[in-house]
Amino acid sequence: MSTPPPKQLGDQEIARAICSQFEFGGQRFRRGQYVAILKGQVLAVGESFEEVQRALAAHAPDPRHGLICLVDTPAPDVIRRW
Amino acid sequence: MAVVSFPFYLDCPVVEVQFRRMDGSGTVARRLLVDSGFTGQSAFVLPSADEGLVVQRLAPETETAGALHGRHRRIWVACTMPPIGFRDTLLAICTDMTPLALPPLIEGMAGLTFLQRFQRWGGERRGDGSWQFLLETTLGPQAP
Repeated sequence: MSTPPPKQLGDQEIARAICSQFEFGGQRFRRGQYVAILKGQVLAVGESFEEVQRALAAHAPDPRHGLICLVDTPAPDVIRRW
Repeated sequence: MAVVSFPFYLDCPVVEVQFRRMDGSGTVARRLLVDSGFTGQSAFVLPSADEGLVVQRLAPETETAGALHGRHRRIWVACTMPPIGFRDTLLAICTDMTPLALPPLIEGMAGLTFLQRFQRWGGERRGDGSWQFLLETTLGPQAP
């Protein structure tokens, strides 16, 4: 019986891994960096949203494809009932 | 230095923010309730219906606590306030806002992360006794 291939992580899972471990796939990340992720791969890393957006837009013009993650320690957003 | 002010709406501090449309065809304005007790990486809460209108790029989902709890979708939005030269790209939670029980005609929320983009912010009582909410930048107005 053959071993199934390893499951490829989705973009959201990769973003969670980057923010919780500051590392993914042997690449290290710093707090405050912007990371563009597309189809399970880190596509670009930069110091501004615009920088990585340009790189991502070249591969995925539709903004509903891929995602951009701001590297930071995960913390919940707290929202009060008004 | 530039200052913009918004009269309180239904006794609530509000701001009006322009969001760039996804297709680049101008902006849409949203009247947002200001709450410095809304904390975290996200700057805004917008209704789910706005996602397809103003998304600049998808963002990691967020865990929220308080009136909104659980995991929610999040997007990057390009926001501007031309009278004071403000322009930034910030994170917005897009979700069903029913649990927030916002006053009528309030279209979302702006939190502490948004406010901290300004030099000064807060409420001020005017001479006629009414309240207004102020935002101040070190920039000048944008050219039309």
